[in-house]
Amino acid sequence: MTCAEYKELAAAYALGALEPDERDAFRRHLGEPRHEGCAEALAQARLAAEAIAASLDPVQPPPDMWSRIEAGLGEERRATASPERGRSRVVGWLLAAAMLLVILWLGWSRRQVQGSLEQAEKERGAAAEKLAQADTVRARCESDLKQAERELVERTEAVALLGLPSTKLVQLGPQVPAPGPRAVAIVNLDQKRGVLVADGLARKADGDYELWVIKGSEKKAAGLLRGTDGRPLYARIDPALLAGGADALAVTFEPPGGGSSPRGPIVILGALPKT
Amino acid sequence: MRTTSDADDGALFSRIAGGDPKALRQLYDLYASRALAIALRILGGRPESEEVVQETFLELWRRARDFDRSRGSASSWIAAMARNRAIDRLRSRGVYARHQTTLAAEPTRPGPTPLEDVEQRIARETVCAALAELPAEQRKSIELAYFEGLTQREIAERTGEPLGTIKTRLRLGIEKLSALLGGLAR
Repeated sequence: MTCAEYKELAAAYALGALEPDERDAFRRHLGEPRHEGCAEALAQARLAAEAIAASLDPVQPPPDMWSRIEAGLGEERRATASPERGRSRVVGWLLAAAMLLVILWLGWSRRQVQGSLEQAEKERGAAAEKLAQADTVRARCESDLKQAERELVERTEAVALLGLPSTKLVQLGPQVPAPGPRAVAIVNLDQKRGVLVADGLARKADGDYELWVIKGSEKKAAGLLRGTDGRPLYARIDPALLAGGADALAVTFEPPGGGSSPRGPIVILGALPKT
Repeated sequence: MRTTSDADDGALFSRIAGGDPKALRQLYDLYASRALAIALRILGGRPESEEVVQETFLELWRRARDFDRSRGSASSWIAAMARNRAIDRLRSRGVYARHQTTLAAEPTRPGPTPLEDVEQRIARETVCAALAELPAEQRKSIELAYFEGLTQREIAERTGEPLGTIKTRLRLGIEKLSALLGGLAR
């Protein structure tokens, strides 16, 4: 698929109107190394398609709807716990059956039955452990895949920006002693686009890194950054935050979840060029 | 209806992911009326549409960790979830027994409702005005895709128009809508 074909299909994709094979080809195209405005075309089409829902009059839900949802939350919690209870029930039945066998066979071979029970219990424990391990691996793979998809989009945008003549590279300075984090901002203020490429932002359990776009005394939250151990981190800057102009970029370390204004220490800071 | 900032959205989803039902209630107060409007428009029936909204917020509860504010607002995410669920139900009916509504009737300056605050009403009127500017055939094609979940090929079959014509209508319609929304926003 060429970039021109991709842009032709962006509207239909945003509306969910592509056939499955077209949709797959469309998604694969973003993995190509070079683009001519593909991400912008898709973003514009998405904004327009999402706006359609805003044309509808809001409809007030009935008063009891929230209580129905709350009841559903209770069922969700029970469902989360139910596999364990289900396993417990199975074990209970096994034990009951085993007890019956024990009674019937007591005179003949009590020791033999007990041995079988112990073996069954061991096997059940081992199977449950393998199941838990498989769940953990699957969750980790899904998380890694999602992260890789996000990174690909950010890297694609960075490469696209580097191909534009008015794009500038801005070195952002570390605010903590070396070997602290460092970053480069790839910005094109003409097109209100930018990507932050940071290195040395280590994962921390007690908080999140947060990116800020600074204009005068105003500091606008531009998203949380997840620390990466040993790999560069790519973060696209929301074009809306660059639309009114920007003087500087900063990264702070905030409590988990970040906030709407910076409170934590600055770890990276740098001024942006004037257009 | 109020909306939240991106930072507020992120904080709310973090709290939901941590199991805080009060945060889910906050999102419900903000966005349930829009989700119900979307479901009603697609499905037509109130009980089924209310089920869609319930399912949407339960899905939010389960998938709050997946929310990525760099890829869109909470409002967009919730609207997309409600739409997808409603479209799934519509498709599961087997035959597209869809109620016939058109966007042509919608953009005629609907009156304000007590649910909306000024900001929300302005946004709605802006979109209605932009939709009213589209040629009727482009608006109809967009409507069939968005509110009935039809693919380009299905729209061509439904309307009896060539597939190439439908592709062009969707592309031009969305491009014009995008330009109009940008212009009206300025």
